[in-house]
Amino acid sequence: MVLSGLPDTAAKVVDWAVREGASFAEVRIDKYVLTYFSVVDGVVKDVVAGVESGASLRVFYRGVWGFSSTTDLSTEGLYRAMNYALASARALSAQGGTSSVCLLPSRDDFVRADVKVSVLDVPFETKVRDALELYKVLVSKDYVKSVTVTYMDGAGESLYVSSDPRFIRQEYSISWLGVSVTGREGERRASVGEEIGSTDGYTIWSRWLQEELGAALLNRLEGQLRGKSPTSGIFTVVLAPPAVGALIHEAFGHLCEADLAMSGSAVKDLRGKVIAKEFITVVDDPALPGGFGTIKYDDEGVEAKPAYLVKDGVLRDFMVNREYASKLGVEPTGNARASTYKAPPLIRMRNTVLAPRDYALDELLEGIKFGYYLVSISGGETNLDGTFHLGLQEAYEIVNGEVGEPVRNLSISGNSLTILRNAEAVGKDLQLHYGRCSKGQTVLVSFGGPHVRVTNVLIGAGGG
Amino acid sequence: MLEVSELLAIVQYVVEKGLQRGADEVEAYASVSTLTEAVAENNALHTASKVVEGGVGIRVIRGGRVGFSYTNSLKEEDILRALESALSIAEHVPKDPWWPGLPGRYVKYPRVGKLYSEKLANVGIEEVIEYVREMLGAAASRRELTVVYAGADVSFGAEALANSSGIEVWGKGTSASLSIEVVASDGSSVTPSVHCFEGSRVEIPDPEPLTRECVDKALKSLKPVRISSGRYEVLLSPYALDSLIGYTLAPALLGDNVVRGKSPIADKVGEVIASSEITIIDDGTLEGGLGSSNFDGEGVPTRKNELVVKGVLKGFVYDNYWGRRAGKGSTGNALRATYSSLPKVGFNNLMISRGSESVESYLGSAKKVLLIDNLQGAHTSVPETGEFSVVAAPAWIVSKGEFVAVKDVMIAGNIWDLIKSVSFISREVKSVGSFVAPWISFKEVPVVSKS
Repeated sequence: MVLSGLPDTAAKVVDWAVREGASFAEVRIDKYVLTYFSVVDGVVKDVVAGVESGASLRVFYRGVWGFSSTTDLSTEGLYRAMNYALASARALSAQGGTSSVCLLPSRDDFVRADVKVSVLDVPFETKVRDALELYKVLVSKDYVKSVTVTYMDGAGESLYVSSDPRFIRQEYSISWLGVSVTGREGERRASVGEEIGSTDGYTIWSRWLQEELGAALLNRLEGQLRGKSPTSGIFTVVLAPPAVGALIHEAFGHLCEADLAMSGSAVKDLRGKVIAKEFITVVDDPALPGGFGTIKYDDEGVEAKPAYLVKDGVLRDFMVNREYASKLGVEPTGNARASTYKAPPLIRMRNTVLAPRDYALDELLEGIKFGYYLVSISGGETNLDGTFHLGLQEAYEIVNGEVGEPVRNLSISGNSLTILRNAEAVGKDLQLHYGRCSKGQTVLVSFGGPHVRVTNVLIGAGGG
Repeated sequence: MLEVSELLAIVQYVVEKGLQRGADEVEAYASVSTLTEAVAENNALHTASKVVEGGVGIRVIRGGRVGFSYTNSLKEEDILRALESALSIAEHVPKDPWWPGLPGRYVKYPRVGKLYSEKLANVGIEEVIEYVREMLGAAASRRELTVVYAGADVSFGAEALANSSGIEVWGKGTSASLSIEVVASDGSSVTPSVHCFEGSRVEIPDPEPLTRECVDKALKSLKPVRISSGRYEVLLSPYALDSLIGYTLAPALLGDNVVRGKSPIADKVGEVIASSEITIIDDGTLEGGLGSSNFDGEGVPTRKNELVVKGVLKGFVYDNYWGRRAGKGSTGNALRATYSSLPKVGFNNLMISRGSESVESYLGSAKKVLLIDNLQGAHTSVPETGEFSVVAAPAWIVSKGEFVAVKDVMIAGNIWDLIKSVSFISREVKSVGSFVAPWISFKEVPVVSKS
């Protein structure tokens, strides 16, 4: 897609904001084509086709930020929105603000998407047929009562122009699919789900076969319908890669987002301190191939670099944007991401993983008389003090070092720092998973890790 | 800014054009909005913003095939392009065998009061900033407190909707809200974050009581103790109820879940499902309600729907599609988030009726109650069964009016058992967004402590 003429106009608007007194100004323009549909119990519904374009405009003025967005990309429209941002910042700065911003050397770059099959080249009918195929696999079982498959793709280009000055154009072609299956057997009801995605166009069905994804979901659902209830109490657990990724993202990663860390999260004063055993490394890595968070520049035009939240057991980096890089006096990591042009970027994770080590799964299970094998997390959240709570949609008992019967409706909770400290052995098999993360705005992220054994984990039962 | 009459002219034009282009049915929705907002983060003013936007969403039907498209522009050429795109989808999408037709004309619409204020519609950023400054000043004066977030926002919206079955509706509204999130720290420990919210359709709420409530809760959360596991009488605040009900009971009352077999109470109309003190309604006509309007996202009049009356299940909420599929018709519960999305079944104002005693009087006489102000992890609940297992934070054990903060506490159970064990409903109610509820306590709730 062509953003012809826009770089020049955006540059003029940025220059104007600086002449008006802004110490930093930026315009981020997004243009993309979007396809969305859901398959609700076999019926294709909610089909949306949209062509979106719009601009986010932000200024830094005497210690505070001003923001606006607009869908009017004419010269006049961009000036008007920049004026809203400037006027807002001026009003807010009446008594002076305390914030700061990290300015960067100039840069001019064009990042092409590495697209195997463009989502624009695949007919709508093909996308529907592929999603229906997954639906058919799932409804083959009597206990399946309801299936929702949701598909979304987007292909487009973003343009970033700042007063540094930076001119950065990036292309993308992303597809995402979420599926939720509800089952009932006797009085037992349950619901499970999964999300998949790709960043090189319409390639999800070459990476996941409908048959295999469907079978994995049916197995998960059977576990929730037919499984035992867990025993509440404190147990040794082995976490599988998807659960490790979700736990690392949800229960630890958020605490290391500099805005949350500095507002008093449990890790605020722990940089440089040993918080886990020396074989624990947690990294938010924008360079892992094919992740939803694999980016060259973030939405503040900053080079994305790995943030080592924990390096060999020591808490090292917070994830920062331009503002917190300046406040903390650290190198920017490129963690500023925005859901769309309608919102200013926030500090967000990209691909957050626990680095693999050397154990095989059977070695991790060995010696556990009774415990739980936790495979997939359905959701969860973490409070600033590190208390977290996560629900599992796939879990099994471990009996005498072997994975046993499925367990339904299990949850784990505790404190993130305690659970990290109690991680006592790390596997060698790294997997990356795909999902969405909400922090006011929703962005696509990846997360993962190898299998891990953790002691003293509080297991809860959902009642029933 | 466009006048409402201009939006109406746009949607009428789209319906006419769509029919000319061969659609069987057409629905057009246009809206414009202004959002003025100021936020503080970590004890300092941070960002002010003003965003003006608008667009048109178009739904067309051809031979039972439904297409939707939208544009974030109000220019004729962009709107016509969106119409063509919707028509093209309707050619390529499989037929929906259940498509019931768009809703037809309604004669009577409610005229809900206090949904619009000229003053809010024209508010300046300076005034909005002043409210954030007040919240910040009041909370930051205590050394042990950090204001993680304080925000004030004011929005104005105008909308119009027309369809080919004769619906033509339009209106405008305003709303304002304040929210604040505070943590306290005494050197040895940090409290969980404490959130407070207040909203109104006609004025910016008073920041003083809101800030005082939030600061008070944060300070009261310091020096928490652990308690033993067991069964407790548990008092849930409207914030905690919003979170728990929103992920367990509320989804079971949505018509699409009922039709799709995802609601565990789908076949229980007329049966007792809750304590006889429990009455739940959805009321789109609540004066000044944060979720109120005269018509829903499909132009159907809003109304008051009885869902649970004195413990007996009366019915569910529906949009046009799921209501007609259920053989009932719409209850005025199609919610449209923006012009760029299709309407979905949702609640207007989901309300639990109040009781007669005050919270203070109840806590003053109760021997031992676990008071829970907020819950974490309610979204891990299983709506199909009502099972939940959630972390309570902040929470206190209250004995004869004395508060002791507690930590590492979880409650677990099943919503359908819980709402049959109600022991107290307060006379005070609070709106958390469009959820309006009293404080409710429940007997013998399983509490798990990591002690």
